[in-house]
Amino acid sequence: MDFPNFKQCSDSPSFADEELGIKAAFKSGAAKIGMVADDRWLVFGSLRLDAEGLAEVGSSVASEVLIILTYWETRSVHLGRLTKAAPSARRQRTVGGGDDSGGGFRLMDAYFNLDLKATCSVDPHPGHYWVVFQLGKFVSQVLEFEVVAPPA
Amino acid sequence: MPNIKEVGSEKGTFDSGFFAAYALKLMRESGGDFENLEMGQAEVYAARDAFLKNSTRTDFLEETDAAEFLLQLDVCDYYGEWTEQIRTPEILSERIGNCLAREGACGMMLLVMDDSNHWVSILTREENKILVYDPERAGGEPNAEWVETLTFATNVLKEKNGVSALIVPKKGSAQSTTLAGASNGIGIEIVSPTKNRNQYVNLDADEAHPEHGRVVRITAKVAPPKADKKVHWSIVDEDKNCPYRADLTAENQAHFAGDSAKKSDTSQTNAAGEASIDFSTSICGGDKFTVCASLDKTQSGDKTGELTVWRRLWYEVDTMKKRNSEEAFDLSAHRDVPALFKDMFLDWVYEEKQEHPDNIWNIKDGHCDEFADKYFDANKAPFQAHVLAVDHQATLTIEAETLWDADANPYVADLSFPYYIYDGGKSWVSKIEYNLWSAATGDDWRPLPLDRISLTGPDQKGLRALKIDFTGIANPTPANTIEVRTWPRMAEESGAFWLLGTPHIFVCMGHVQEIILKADLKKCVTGIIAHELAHVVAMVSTGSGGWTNPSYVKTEGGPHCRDPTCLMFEFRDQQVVFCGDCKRALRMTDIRKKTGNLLHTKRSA
Repeated sequence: MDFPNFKQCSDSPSFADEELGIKAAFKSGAAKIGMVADDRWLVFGSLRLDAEGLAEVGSSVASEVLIILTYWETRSVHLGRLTKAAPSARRQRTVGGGDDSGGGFRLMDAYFNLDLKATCSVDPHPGHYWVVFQLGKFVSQVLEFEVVAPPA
Repeated sequence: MPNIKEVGSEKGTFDSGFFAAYALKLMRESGGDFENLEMGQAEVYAARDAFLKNSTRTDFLEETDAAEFLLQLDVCDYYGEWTEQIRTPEILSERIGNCLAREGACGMMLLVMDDSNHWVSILTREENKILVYDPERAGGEPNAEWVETLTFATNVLKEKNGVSALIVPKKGSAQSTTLAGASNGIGIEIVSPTKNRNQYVNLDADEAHPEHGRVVRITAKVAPPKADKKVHWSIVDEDKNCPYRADLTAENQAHFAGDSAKKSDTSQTNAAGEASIDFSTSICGGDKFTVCASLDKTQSGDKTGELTVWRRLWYEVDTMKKRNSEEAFDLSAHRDVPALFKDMFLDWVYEEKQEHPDNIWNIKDGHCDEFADKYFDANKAPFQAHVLAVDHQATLTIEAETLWDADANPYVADLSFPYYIYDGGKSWVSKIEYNLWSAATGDDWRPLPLDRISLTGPDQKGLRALKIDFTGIANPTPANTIEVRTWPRMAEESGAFWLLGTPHIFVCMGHVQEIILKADLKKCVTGIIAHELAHVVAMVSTGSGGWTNPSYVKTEGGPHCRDPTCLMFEFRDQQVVFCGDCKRALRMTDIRKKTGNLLHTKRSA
């Protein structure tokens, strides 16, 4: 599988019925994991938005996901986005559709899978990292991982 | 044999002529070392008197061989005639020329009188010098009228006849007034460059184009030609010409002979009397330089034409054909772009040849470079950028599952999305289902034929809305909505971008035309192209040398300007001017070091 991609897979976090927002996890749903510097640093994510949430973030949802990666050893912060398309014009907030009387957009479910190293342009130094995903007012749980040097 | 009668035979006029002739004879006998001449008026008159007792003027001239120093008393014979008749540069210059042209004439005497003394100026053609001989000055400052008149005369001689002026002081006395252009009797003039010109400092040096390159070879010539004369080179009024000089690094400031520490220099003349120096302008757009060549350390010599620092780059435009048409996208807005850079002394020159590639609805990620390379002529690489109008450049992103409550037939979705439509047909959606729920059966999801769905739009944001035709399938109403599930593929569109590290700029006109009102389109596209071309030359910079750019901001899209009214603000919104900080940043940018982005394999760098 190439990364990043936007397919639902067995490692994609799931949402309960009334849940909205963004979730992220390592393989098999883990929130804490060990990684090797040379390997890909894979994260699996899901998001669910209703009409109100979509009006907040805009229709180009993928480019709105902000990834914040912290390297504890030096307190450095790396940022990334799922997609890096250059905006051509100032964005306008989407006028949300649908009212309580029914009709209209209800929910969007989407998935993303990425390699943190590539997406955040990180030099893979051994040490302790945290990562969190933000989409509008929603934020995922904080994921933790320890990177070790590759075996000699 | 010179005609000695021309110096006059009347005793009354003998004083001046005799004086001058004898003075010149003695000067010649001193070996031409005029600066060490020892002679006083009293001495000359004594010699004259000794001869006058027993001989005529003519006899004197014959006996002293002073005839060879025939002097043409031509300019000024009488008091007052000078100011009334001679005092125009053209007439004076003509008289001088006439004197020097006479056969056998070796010089002329310019007699400038005040009311108390005779001040003699002697021009010798051989040496092409003019001597202001002051055999016995009373002391104190020279008579103002004398100074003024002689200054005028010597300026004419210098400018019209190419002669420098020399003051020969009485030995032991203080140096007298220096006249304009005074030197050691040798004139100097700039051979090249003499005219004002723009100097394109980012271009490679080219013998056929001396205006290319930062280093300017300046040549001056002394007259008469003489080898081993030291020429002093200096920059005229540098502080006035260079507004950001204090902030430029030493290497980026103007200097001589490749040494950033050299603000002045010297060189020696060759056998032809020529001396040259390499002068490096600064790298700052708009800086102006005039270099002086002088035979002393003052800037009393000749000056080059004014050199103005410019930068020059070229750009090529290719425009893709529109979908299902032979007509290409209109990118004529590019013609307004070069004017936007003039304030920053960057000359974008349009390469006229344009190609029209066949339409590709969407150029996918990873294929942009290859596509652009096919059409890039690169005639002026590595100084040429490429502006390419294409239809769309969209990235396939999420394949979301969306849930709708359809409440009408046909149903038009109330939210629009950037669907990835570029594969054609219905590939933007993989499947769609509707739910015929009932209390009796519960959920009953059924596939909806894809020919029942279409997209409206695009709207002003380039987004499209789902439209479903339920005819014969269901009858959704506000009171009885039908759930619909879709699995659409979404796109991330680009309006315009510079392909990092390449000469290529993409303007996605298919998308731009969707999102920009027609009335604003041309202005917006001008701004887009100017914005991206500025990125190619590494704008917005953080500053240069000692100056930090307060408007610089690093955004997700790269380096931009904080000022929303500036062309380098991240988002396009009809801006058509650069702010002051961005103008300064680009003026101070050493564009020679930024042409790495314009390197291209089609032309070896």
